[in-house]
Amino acid sequence: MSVEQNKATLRHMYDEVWNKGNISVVAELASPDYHFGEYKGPEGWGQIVTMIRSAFPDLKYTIDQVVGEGDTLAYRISGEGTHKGKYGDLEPTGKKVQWTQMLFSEFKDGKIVTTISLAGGLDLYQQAEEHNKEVTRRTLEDVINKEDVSLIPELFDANYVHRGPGGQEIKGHDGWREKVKMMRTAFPDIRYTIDELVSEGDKVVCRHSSIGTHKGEYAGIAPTGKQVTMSGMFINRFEGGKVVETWGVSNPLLLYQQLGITPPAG
Amino acid sequence: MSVEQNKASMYRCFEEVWNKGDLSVLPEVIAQDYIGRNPGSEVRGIDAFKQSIIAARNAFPDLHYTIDDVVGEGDKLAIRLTVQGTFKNKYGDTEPTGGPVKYTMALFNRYVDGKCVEAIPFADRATISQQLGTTPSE
Repeated sequence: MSVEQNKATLRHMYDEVWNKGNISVVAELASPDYHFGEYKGPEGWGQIVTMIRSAFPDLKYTIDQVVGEGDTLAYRISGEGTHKGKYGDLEPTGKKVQWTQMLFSEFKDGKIVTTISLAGGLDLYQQAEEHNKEVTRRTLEDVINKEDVSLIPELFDANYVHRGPGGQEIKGHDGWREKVKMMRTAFPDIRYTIDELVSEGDKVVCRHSSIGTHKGEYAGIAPTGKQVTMSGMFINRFEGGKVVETWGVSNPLLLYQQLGITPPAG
Repeated sequence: MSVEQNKASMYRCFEEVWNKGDLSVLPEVIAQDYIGRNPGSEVRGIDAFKQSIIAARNAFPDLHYTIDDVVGEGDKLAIRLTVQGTFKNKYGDTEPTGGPVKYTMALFNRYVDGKCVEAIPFADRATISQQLGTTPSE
């Protein structure tokens, strides 16, 4: 078979199998000897397609460039899709992602025998981690610093729970709205700074500091007019691209000291 | 220039420039206005490319590329390579591990007059990050 015929087969494979999920065509395009890692034969290929399309149901690949020589085609593709199902051990983020790949496919009798794939740019794990960092950044810089509570449903899951060190909990979107209102009433000029963000898998660790003037009642303490600085750390856990759980720690003793009052006993 | 001439130019670039560090060959195999479309950071011009070779060979003094497969058509070459070396000195902001690094990468290159004018690299990034001791988000 000629290079041009192999290219036509490749295009057919992306249009029908990858982009439309038409698995029945796989047998026409994959050699009985097809192998990709542990996946063998047209059935093995069908499994790969099914797996990736269940992670990205709206998967769309575009072939950017193809060159061929002998029985080999080398090509660049761009993929995009919404991450709605589990991909490897990565839980769905609900996020639209894009990626590029370069592949080398060997053909035999006009059918694909094997493919080697290499990734370009950020991989999917990195994209999810970057997204989670960005959301975490916005919860402090936009929601608290700019008092934009309208963003809360976009950044937090409806089943959100914030767990404090003493077992206290803040629940749902309303819980966050109240938290912002309470903080901005007590410290109207409050300003959070992110000192460090570390993202791995479905979690983000954030180390932060903040500064504000105590102008309203805070935890039963009448306004002192004093400027205070605070620092703390929390871990956000993500589901579907939104924060679903936070574990936070801070040092309230420092705050009481700065306000010049004795912390409540116990 | 033919596909075979482009291939000869590509082999010289890896064997003489990258593997032996002979930078004098560079102007014969790389165009003045070369662009390397690395993810997140483009390498523009032959001088920037030269600096990236010096930096990589400094960090990995025994850096070695092996060409595993080449597919040529028209003015393009698709190249699959194995890269290996010992990470002995700081590379960018990454501290050396002292250990070996080995991974597969690929390039989509375009040639004019037998010189590479554009390269689009692809790599097994997860493996690289693991071996460099960095997390993938770096």
